[in-house]
Amino acid sequence: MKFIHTADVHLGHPFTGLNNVPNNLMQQVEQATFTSFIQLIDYALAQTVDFIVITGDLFDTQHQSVQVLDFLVVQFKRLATQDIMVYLSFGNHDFNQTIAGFDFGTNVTLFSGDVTIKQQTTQQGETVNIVGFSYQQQHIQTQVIDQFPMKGQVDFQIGMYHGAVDGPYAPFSIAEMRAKHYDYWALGHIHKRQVLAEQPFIIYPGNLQGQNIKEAGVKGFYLVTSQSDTLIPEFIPSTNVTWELVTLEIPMVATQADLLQLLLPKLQAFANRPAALVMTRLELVSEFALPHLLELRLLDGATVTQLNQALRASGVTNLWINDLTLRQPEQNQALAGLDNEAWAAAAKIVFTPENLHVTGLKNVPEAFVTSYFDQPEVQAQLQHRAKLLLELYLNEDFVDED
Amino acid sequence: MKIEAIKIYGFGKWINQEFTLPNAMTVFYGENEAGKSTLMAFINGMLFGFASKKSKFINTYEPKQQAIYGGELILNHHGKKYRLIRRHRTNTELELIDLATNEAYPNPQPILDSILGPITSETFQQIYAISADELAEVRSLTPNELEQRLLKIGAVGATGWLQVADQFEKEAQALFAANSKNGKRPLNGLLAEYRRTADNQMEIQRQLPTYFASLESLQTQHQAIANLKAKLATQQTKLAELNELARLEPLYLQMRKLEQKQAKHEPKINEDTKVRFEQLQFQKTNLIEEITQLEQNLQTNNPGDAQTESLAQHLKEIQPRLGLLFELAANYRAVQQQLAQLKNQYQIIAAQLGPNEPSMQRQRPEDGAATNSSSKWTIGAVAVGIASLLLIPGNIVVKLIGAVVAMVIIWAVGRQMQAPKMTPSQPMPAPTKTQVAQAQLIRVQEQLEVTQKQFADLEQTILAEQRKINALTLSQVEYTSDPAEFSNQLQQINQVINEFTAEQQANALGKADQVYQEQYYKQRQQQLAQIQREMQTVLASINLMDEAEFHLQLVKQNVDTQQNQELMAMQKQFTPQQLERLAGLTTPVAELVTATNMQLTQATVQLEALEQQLQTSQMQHLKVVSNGTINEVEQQMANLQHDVLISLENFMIKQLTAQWINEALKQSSQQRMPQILALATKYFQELTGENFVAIKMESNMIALVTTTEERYTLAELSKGTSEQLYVAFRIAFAQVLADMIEFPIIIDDGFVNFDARRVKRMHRLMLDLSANQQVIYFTSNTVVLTDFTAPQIVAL
Repeated sequence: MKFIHTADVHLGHPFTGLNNVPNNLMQQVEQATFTSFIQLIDYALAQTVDFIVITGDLFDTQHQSVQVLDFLVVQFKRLATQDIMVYLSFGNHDFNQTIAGFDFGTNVTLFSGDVTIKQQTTQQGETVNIVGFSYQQQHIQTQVIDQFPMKGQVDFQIGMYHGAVDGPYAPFSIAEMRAKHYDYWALGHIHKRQVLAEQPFIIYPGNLQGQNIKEAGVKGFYLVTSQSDTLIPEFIPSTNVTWELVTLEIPMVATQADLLQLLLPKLQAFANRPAALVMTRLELVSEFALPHLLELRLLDGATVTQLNQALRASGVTNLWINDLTLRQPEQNQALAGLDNEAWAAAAKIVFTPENLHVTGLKNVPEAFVTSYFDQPEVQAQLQHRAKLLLELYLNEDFVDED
Repeated sequence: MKIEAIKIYGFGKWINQEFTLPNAMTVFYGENEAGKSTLMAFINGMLFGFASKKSKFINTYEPKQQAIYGGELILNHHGKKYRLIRRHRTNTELELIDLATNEAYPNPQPILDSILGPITSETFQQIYAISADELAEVRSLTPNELEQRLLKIGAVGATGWLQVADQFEKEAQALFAANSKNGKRPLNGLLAEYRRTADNQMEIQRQLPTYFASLESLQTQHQAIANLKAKLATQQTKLAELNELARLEPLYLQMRKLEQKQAKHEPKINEDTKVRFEQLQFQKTNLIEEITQLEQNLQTNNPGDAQTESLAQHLKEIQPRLGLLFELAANYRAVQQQLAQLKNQYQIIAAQLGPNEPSMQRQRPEDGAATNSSSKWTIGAVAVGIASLLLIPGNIVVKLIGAVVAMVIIWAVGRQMQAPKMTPSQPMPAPTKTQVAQAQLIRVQEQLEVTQKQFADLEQTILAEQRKINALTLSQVEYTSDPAEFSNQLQQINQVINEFTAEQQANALGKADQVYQEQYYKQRQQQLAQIQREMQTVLASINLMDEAEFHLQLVKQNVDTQQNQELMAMQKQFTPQQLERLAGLTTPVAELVTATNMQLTQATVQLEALEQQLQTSQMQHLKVVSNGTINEVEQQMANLQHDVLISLENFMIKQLTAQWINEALKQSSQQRMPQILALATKYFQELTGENFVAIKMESNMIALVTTTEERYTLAELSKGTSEQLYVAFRIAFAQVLADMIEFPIIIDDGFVNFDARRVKRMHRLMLDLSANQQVIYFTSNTVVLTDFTAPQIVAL
């Protein structure tokens, strides 16, 4: 028996936090979730697996579209030509009542809200029970694991479970899963790939395609094969756009030109690896405090643009620096002019969510704006950059440079 | 910190100039252009550094004469004296000497910084320097602005910070304006684009219900078409069936008619009866035939008796003479032949005598072989005569005559035949020949005459006999008077006699039968009667009168049977279902066919319409599906979101920085505001000559109260009073700070709106202040000369 376990495909979900990505790369990025899924289907056909289990969040209700549904129908039909079954359950992102009646194809079995057993006999005649359920709403507080039956009179029993150990997503424990005596637990929900247990295997395959820097690293799915009476998973990479965090240490530099000259060879070396496309966040670590202007240019994106231009010019096409962070010793310089207490007291009043709202956000009511600026680190960054600005003004660095 | 002495090496108009400031109150008095402002700038430059830049807008105070740019200050800070030296405007040499030890500090800047504390050039200008320019500025402020300025006086460097804040705010507003509808500002533009894209995305997402509806509609349409096709197929089958029924209908009706007719004619004569009756008829016919035969037999036997008797009589007469008569006939033929021969012989000989001799000679060989010798011919003639006598029955006379005649003929013939035979072997001379022939001719002539006589006698005899025979008038015997036919007649008579004899014998047997035959005849008659009775019985049993009726009935029944067979043949053309269908029909098939045809046409039209609709729907569906922009739009959205955030962040940073400054100013101002307010009230009281007694702060609004408890807002104050209020606040703030930082207050006289009384009050206030803090006052007002003591005044 051979089957593929995937989850959290998030078809059609756009990449977030992209910075001025050029058009040719943008096309690749736009199609990335689809391309990765096609790779999975290609692999399934090449391996002639018995079935595919998709444990939730195949797509986003928020980004659900005709094209996504049509794409799925086409891909599932490809599987149908080789009688490859698809077991599909909805997670917290793709739960959708309007989709429940959608006809994905004859080879696709969609789980309902109740824990249900589906049966299949493999090409080699092994009997398999696939047990799963679909989300009917965004949150499930109850331990759905309790509703899973014990392993039945079959060769293999597989549980499909979209959820997390803690929180409002059908909480469960590994011990509870083990107690069911299943042969494999195909989990979904957590985007980071992880093997929770090995006897039996309880696995989060992670998402199929990383969509922002928080989903860095190689992504893919699991090919699960029966070996005598156990099921053995093997990770198969399928990402065509990889997100990576690149950390570089920099010595003391005085000018922007020095900084670029220092970073470029390191990045070129990093790009000299076989990879379709790597979207990176550059994390610069400096032992010394950078001059204000350099820091400001790092933070306002000017340096990133210059680096990307230089990389393009040197023929690097598979590496894109999306953004950059800086770690340097705290420059706890007191702001001149006024006493520190006044600055601190004022900061406490100015850099508050309420004031952020009044100052600008109330005029930009879009939710994504609010949720971004509600983040404490974003607020901290605002204050940090405001301080840089004041210091620059006080020191008249603006005027002196050039 | 107190400035005790000023020494200028070279700064503007001042060259190698020294001033001492021994008192807490120093008044630099001089006319305009005396160098008051230059001196003030010198003090500022000495403390915080000279202007590093050169431009036409900045006065760098280059010395008018050749001198070292710079100078010295003697400072007293916390009881310790320092000499501060700066040389050169650029690349300034800074020197700080501890006057107690007279040692210069190797790294003087930090020491100087600690002496100056948090005071910068700007804060110094803003806190401790009350300049004419500033007062001019205050005069130009609106009441609101003045209020803001007053409130923020508590903050160090308030005005400069305010300008910075203002700059940031302007920069921020260049990025984004909340209510601007046009997208000229970058963030407004981005937001507009984002919202357009979001609308577009919404629009695309709105396709989803359309897509589902379209899918469902397609499914429904497929189903409808399938249903309709099934219906069409059913109707087509039905139509085919109906067409078949229509074809069968006339036959069916005909059949039904026939069936009804048949049902009425119950056959009277069943097969048994028929067979029986026909048997009887057959028997009857046979019997009648037999009876007729019998009747005839019986009739012929009786009436022919008389004739038979006379015939028998005649035949009995003829029979005994028959042999004789045959002999006669035979003789007749023999004589006839003899006659013919003789005639022939005669002619031949006669011919030999004529020119025809040679030809006669030539004939000889041909005739030759028949006879060997004349002796043979003689023997033969005798034999034949005897045989004739013996063999031919009849009259012995006739036999004899015949025999004789025969012998003669045969002998003569033999002679005749021998003679020519010898001729070729014995050729004779012609005279001899003719002689012989003539002899012969005579001889033949003689013979011929005898024979002719004989033949005539025979003819007479035969004719007499023939007359007798003809008189018998026998049917089987030819009536003739030709002697040549006599033989035949005799033969015929002989036949009649034989037949008659046979008949006579048979009649003898028949007579014995007759009785039996009559009995048999009667028996048959009885049988016939019996059969006729039986027939009558049969007829009666089937209600028929007679045989004729029976036959009529039979004919009828045959017709029926034929029709039955026809009916059966007809029935074979229908299936049981068809029969059932036809039987169940209430309307004519033709009508049904028409109706079905109409339905079929309708359904076909409907199908065409549905299929066309399906095609359109499929195209629309495809259009919905093939709109490939959604991913692009989604990604565009995500990108725009990011861009908006970055842009908004930049906007926010500028805005927040401005706010931060304002807030920090407010904070530091508010911390000291109560003290400042108290002092300011006191000074304002003094400056207004007790006209105003209180300054009230109510929710960041300043109200002024007179002795008569009248309240004034800032807007209601005169320009002069506003200036007084401002100065009161400035001095009050400097005084409050004096607790923390000891620094001289430098006042540049700009009280142009003050009348003499107010100026006097101001001077008094300065003297009061100098009790706690050094006051340096620059003025061109001569009043100082009376208001201050001589040591306090430095005339420029």
